[in-house]
Amino acid sequence: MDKLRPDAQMVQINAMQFIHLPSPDIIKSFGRSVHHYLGIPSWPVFASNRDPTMAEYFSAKSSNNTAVYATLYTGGTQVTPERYMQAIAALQPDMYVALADEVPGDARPKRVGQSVDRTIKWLDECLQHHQATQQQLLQQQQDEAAAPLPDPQLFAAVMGAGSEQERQRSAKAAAERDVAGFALCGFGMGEPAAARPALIAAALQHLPADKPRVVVGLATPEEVLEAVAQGIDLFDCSYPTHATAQGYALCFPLQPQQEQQQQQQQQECADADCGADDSKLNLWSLQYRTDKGPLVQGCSCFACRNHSRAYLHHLLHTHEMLASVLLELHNTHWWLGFFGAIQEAIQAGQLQQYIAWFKQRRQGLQQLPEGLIQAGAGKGQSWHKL
Amino acid sequence: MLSKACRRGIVTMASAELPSSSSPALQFQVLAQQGRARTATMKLPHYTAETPMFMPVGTQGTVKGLTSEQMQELDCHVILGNTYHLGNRPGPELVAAMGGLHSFINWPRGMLTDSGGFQMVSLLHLADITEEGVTFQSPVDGSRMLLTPEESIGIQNDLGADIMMQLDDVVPATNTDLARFEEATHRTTRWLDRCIAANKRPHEQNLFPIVQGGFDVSLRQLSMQQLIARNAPGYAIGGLAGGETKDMFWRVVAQCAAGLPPGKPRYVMGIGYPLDILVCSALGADMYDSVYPTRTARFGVALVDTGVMKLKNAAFAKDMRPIDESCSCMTCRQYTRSYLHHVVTRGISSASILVTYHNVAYMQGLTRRIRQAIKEQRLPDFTRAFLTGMFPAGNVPQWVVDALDVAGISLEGVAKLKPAHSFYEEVQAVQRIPAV
Repeated sequence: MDKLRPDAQMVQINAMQFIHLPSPDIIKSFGRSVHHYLGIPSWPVFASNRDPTMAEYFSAKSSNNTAVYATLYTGGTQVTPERYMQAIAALQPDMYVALADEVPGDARPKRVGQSVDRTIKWLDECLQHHQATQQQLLQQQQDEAAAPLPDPQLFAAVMGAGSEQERQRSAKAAAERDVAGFALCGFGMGEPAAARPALIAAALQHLPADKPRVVVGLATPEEVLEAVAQGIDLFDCSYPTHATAQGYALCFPLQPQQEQQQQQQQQECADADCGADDSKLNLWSLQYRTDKGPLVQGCSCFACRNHSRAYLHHLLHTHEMLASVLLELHNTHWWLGFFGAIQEAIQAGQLQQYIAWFKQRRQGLQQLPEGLIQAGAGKGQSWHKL
Repeated sequence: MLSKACRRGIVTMASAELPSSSSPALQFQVLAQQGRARTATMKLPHYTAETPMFMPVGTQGTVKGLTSEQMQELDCHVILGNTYHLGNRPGPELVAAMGGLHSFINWPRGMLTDSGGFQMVSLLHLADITEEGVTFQSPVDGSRMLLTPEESIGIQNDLGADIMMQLDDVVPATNTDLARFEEATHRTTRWLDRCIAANKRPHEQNLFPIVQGGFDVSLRQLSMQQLIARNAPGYAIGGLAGGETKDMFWRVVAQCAAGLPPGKPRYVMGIGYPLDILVCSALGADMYDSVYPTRTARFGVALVDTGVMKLKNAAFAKDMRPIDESCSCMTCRQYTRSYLHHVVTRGISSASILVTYHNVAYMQGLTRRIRQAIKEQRLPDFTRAFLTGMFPAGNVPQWVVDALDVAGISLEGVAKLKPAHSFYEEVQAVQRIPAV
């Protein structure tokens, strides 16, 4: 993790992993916050209500008015706001998302309405538990030596799936509560990417500008850029994780100046049917067998400074763990570098130009081949477009 | 605790008497001895290692999930690469084109490659051994692969490790046919000569012979005689770690460690249990390798002085202590048994890396402590304390009691059993080879 400094600033965890084994009781008996339990004491922690690389909400059993049905490692279980907040209280993250009733992108209107209603209700319950916990801590502090009180910042979940109306309704209700930020939920759950901007805009209409907004589950750099332009502040790193799992090294140019370099790379695999494009290298491809160069020329990450494409290629083919260790390092580093470039562009007042440049580079790749569309591609989980 | 200057003075005084050797690519200098045990430096082309030394195995050019940087942090001096696997993927020509194995995997320290021969034993149903060599059926694509001594050394020359192992004719330890062991002993010597002749880089790469002979005292003696006559830079004791009883195992190590030249390193192949390493070091061995520490880590098993810690056990779910309170490795400094329990039970492969890291740290720490104990002339006390920790009820196995007795270490008060071997009588008939 330290190798990802200074670009990495915060770690995201899934609160659901701490409902059972390890349970809140176990974390409590540890006596310190989740930062210490996970061995990352110097990193701020964001506890979201779901992990974008998992699918714990899609199961045979459904949620009801009192609880979410989540499929955890130990099996399916009902998670009420109370149970959820017990986990949060034990974890003491810096920020967290309230319990939400997640639905897939193609949920029917009645179900979507239900999800909005439940989530508002659970938000209020979470707030109650939050306040009770803080009071308890305050009382305890008065009895013992004074250390800064943990003060997890609650992010309200904004639902609404594919309905602009419901998105607005959910956002309005969330904005009325005294919360620290907003999590626009239910993206990366099978909805078409083109529909997203309108849905995000619908929600943002009713959210205050001075509180952070997080969206979890966006798949590609372009989708991130769109969301940034609309006003989203926090994103997850599931994209580099998926790239790693499939043996890709991200290499999309982060600045126009890097473009020439990448054009070279594009030419390299223009002829070869190696499953890559100008945004990522497929290190499984035999063309990298004897390539002594780093994963990406000019990259300052640990993997690129110390190892060659040939070595990564070998590690993938021999199914060695070190392949994912090194690729994850590179891909996360690259992804975080992307956000650094975005921040620079915003600070220089150049965001629109940056986005325009970025998009026109990838114009041709935005469209899936016709044959694949007919076969039903693009309707599933958005990370297929990787 | 002796001061550094004082210690240096002692070494200087005694260095005229301490065994050493100088070969084109290896210089071995014993720094201190106690009983049969010794601690030494071994200067290799890429690194100066210290013995007794444990070498983690990086079969396919990586030690299961650990980076080269982490392996250096963990004080590894020499790691192993497996010729059989690397010979398949990525292949020796590619490794040579990449500048050798060191360069390919970016490991700056010592490297040892085995001959590919051990797979003869572990994949025997796919192998056929003749005087020419070993025929494998490649598990990757089913093609026939012939591994001759020349071929093995050719591949190992391409890989470029500091130490190469001869291709030996290894008989499974469970085999009871003495004639087969005899055949293997002589063939190993013939194959050694072919390996030596085939070695294109004798000044950059060391070639170690491997002593055979099964569990027959005179066969082992014969093997040693023949191999020593070739004046190699170091020697390995082979044919062990194949299912033999511990009783047979220690006897072979004791005989061979005593019979091999004291000024040259002695490598017992395939040894990785901490207890075995301690006993073998007491008997005069210097180098060990095994997949055990790294493999057992992937099953969630951590190594500690008292034995093993099976982290998947539910008892650890709420245990907030580190694996080992006296261990200063990254895993023990940052993670609890509870956390490790939860991540290893979920089968998250990256979680096993944390346990792997600790286990390698443990092995390096163990060998460091052994070296230090020998330097400070307190190996017997160290051994007794270690065994007390591992066998608090005193039930040290007979073989350990016997082996340490031969090593000159008494377990009076530590072990319930008394020495019950007839080792000296067994080797009496065989003449000791004078030290080289």
